[in-house]
Amino acid sequence: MNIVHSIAIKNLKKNKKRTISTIIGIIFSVTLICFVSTLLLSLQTSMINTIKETIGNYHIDIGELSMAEAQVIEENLSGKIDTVGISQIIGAGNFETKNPSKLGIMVEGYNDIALDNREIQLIEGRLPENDKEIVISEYLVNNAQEKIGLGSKIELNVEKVKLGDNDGYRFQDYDGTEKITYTVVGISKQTRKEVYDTRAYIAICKLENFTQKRPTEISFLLKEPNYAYTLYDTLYNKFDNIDINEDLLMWQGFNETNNISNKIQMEILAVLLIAIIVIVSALLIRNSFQISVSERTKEFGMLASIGASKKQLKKSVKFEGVIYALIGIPIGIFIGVAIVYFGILLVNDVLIDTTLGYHLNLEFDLSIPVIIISALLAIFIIYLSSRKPAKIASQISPMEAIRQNNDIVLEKKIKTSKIIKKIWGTEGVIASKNIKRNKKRYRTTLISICICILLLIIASSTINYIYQIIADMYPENYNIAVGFIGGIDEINYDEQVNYFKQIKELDNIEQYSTYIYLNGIIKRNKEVLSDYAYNLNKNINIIVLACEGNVYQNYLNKFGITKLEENQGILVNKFNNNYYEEEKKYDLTKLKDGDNIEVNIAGKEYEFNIKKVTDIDPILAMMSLDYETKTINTSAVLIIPIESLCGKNINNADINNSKIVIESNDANALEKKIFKILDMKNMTLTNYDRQAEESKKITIILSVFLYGLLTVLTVIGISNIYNTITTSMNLRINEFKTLRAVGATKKQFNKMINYESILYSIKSLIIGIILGLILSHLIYLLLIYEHYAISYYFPIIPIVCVIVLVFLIVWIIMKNSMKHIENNLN
Amino acid sequence: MEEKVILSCENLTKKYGDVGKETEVVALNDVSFSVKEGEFVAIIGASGSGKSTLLHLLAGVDKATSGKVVIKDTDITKLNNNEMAIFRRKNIGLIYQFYNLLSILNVKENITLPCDLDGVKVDDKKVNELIETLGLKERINHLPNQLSGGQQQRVAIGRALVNNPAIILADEPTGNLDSKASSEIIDLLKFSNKKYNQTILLVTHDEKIAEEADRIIEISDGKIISDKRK
Repeated sequence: MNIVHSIAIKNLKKNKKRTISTIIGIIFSVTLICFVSTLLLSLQTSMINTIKETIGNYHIDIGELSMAEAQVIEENLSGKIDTVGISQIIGAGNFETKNPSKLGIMVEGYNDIALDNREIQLIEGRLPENDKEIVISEYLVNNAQEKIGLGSKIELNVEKVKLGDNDGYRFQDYDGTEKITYTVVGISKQTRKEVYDTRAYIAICKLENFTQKRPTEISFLLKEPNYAYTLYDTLYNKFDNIDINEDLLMWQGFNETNNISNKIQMEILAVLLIAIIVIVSALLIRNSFQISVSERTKEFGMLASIGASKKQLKKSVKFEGVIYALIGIPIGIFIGVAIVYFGILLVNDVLIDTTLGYHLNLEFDLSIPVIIISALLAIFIIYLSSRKPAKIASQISPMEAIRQNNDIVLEKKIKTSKIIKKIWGTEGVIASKNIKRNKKRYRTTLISICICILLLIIASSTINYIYQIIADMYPENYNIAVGFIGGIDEINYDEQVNYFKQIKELDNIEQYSTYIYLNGIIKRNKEVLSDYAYNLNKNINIIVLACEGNVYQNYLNKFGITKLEENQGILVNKFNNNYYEEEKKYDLTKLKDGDNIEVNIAGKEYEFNIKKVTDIDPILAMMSLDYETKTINTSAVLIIPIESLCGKNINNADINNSKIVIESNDANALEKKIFKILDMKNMTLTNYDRQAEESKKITIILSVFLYGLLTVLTVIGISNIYNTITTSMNLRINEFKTLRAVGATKKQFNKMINYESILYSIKSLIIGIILGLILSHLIYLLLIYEHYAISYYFPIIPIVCVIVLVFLIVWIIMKNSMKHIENNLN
Repeated sequence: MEEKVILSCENLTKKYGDVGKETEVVALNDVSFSVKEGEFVAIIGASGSGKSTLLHLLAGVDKATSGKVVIKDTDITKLNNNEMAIFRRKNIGLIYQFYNLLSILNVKENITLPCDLDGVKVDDKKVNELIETLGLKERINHLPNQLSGGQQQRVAIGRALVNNPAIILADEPTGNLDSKASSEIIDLLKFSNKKYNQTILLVTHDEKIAEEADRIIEISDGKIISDKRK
């Protein structure tokens, strides 16, 4: 081995502590870079895979085509298309299940590519291999009258379908029937088509031969995915059933010109995080090199004096870097990848029962290029950090070795203010002179502390915003909502009221509110309507809100009313008829308190005595009543007690929406009880507590990730601060000796040290906090303000924490190295 | 036999501080002399006389304000730092008051350091002979902090000699040693002067040590005030 190399190695061995702390710093930074890049890559892969599974692996999908049209499209795009999935609707047959609204099974044939690329998520079994084998949904299995499983035969009297065309209006026409026996070979999750189809289940077989007449759907992947947007725009007007898979395109990194794709967003995030990591770790590593070089000044001088060339001296410093890299990088990569791997296992374990939207199953994705880039980046950091110290080392003159002392040559006189002397005495003067003299050295420390402060403030305010956004997603005053979808199901007003009555008598209910939301009409009548409303020349719509319960009662109390009788109501007499004048509201009627109002509900006239005419919008006032209709209400509203319309034969068809919302002390228990008395058929039940739990898990994982990242960065920062302070204290040992010699007491030493710590703690705190506030405000303005109704969060708690932490850390380190020096002095 | 001139300096001047201003300090003022091959020269002077400055200029570790230094027909004042470093490792052996050994290398490694830096293969036989001459045979694998001051200085002399330099420049080599160790070191220098015909230039403030040399140059206030040959 070359002498230069062996000197470098021996030096590293001699300064074990610093070598190890530097290597740990490198390991940390490689770990972080690897962690961030692998995690974001895995996240991206997981998103793409989830999209492929739940939406499908295609860029453009066009349905309701004739086979001829499909062929024309395919031919026109022949050079641009990568793969084409083709499916045809074969027909539907009656099939009775527990769900009365689903009348039968619709059979669709998919070609091989469609089977692979469309969103068939097999739970068990396999894909069909001929046109007599089918995949059915789990939903159908659960709803079947008799048990259906793999291998079951389903006999359908299939009414075959052909595409009809009537003046450009497409419709499905019948084309004879055929009795076909299908064999179930696979069970899948519900496809989107089956969810949207109100009448039929969907079964998928293999498409063995195309028929010209059948309705055809093609979905294709493009060779140049960016072209999808242009293609979509040109085809959009020609075909009704065209769909662009924007989610997939965005995650694959293809975006419309004025849009940033998710992939690029991810990459920006990665670059930002990695940039921070690189800066923090480069500071640490550079510092460590600098310390090494300044401690070895004499040695370099001696080497220069006996004839070591500049190159050799540079090499000696850089070789230290090579050793750091050889040890630090592989370990760092290993740890980083391992953390992501086990982290994903853990996260999947925690999120396994997610019911929020689609289930995101995180997949571990290790990419060799990413690893190589991480390693190269680390090498780059080490090289960059070693460059300047190496240059300094090569420029050390042999005189440094010959000189017999280490006195620092002062180039400028340093002035200190008189105030410092007054407050802190001579100790303060010496301390502030020291800081000013070693500006460069302190700058590194200052930057390290500032970055830590900055990150802490930004991370904590970001997490705060995320918590607020998530909290905002859920209603505050209730945690269970049970509703009936209006219009479709045959449950009339009285039955609904009866169901609500059963529900509100259950246990675990703190308070509840019920409302049924109907459309009413006020006939055009000069006596009743305001001039503005009358002049609109039509009957005016009004919302009739039949209510019961807590929120309703609070609303009544606002007007000093304890109870409304069946024939009484409250009129919210403001409405808006003009789409373009959203803000303006007009009086609907001339009516006053005590007048009667006639409203047409479901074709019958009802008369109510108005207890109160008001402007207070119940939907805004009862914000908490219905979380989903938080939108600004543009109609006038008549509020009546729920009993008013009982026994009036009002069909569900006339009901817009109905709901009971409950504040429960045990939402999960209540949910089970409600399921016992009501079957799921026509009802929607939302348990916000359970959903909130899921979001909370995601937030916790996010917090762990952010704070974990922050902790590691802080550790790097602190070790950097530690390195700088300890070395600068060691270099000043002569100064301390002199001070001791001229009779400085221990107390005076401490005073000096305390002053130094306070001086640059304050400096870095001021810079760090101001920058942190500016950046966190920017984040608020750019990312939060536009999209969410969340007020700016002033990160007062993080700031207090940061102030305490910085003083504590700096003071502890100073004190510690002082102790070390005192031991050396005696 | 005509003796060859190894080192010569002409009108060597060194000024510190702001030239021409109040703070200007003239450390060396128009010094000229030459040293022949095999000579053992002592430069003597009081503290602050300029003798160390002179040695630094001769070793090329410091730059002269004006004048030139020629060693083995090379004007070293014209070399840049890097060329100087390479020239130095081939032609100049430096010995300091504070030995300046690398604490992490053992005796033999410290001695062979200039060869190693030069990338020249070390002649083991020659090095072992040198170590024996230096009386360090038993200490060959010791680290500097395991040696006495005199032994450390002997290692430094070995390091200076190992490359067969044209000239050895010694800066107060005995300044940090007791009288017994001092005379050992001087004996060693004299021995190498006799045995290898090694040219030596030694800076000291100690007249007794200077007396051991063939020639004594006395410097005061940056000027040569006497140059005596024995």
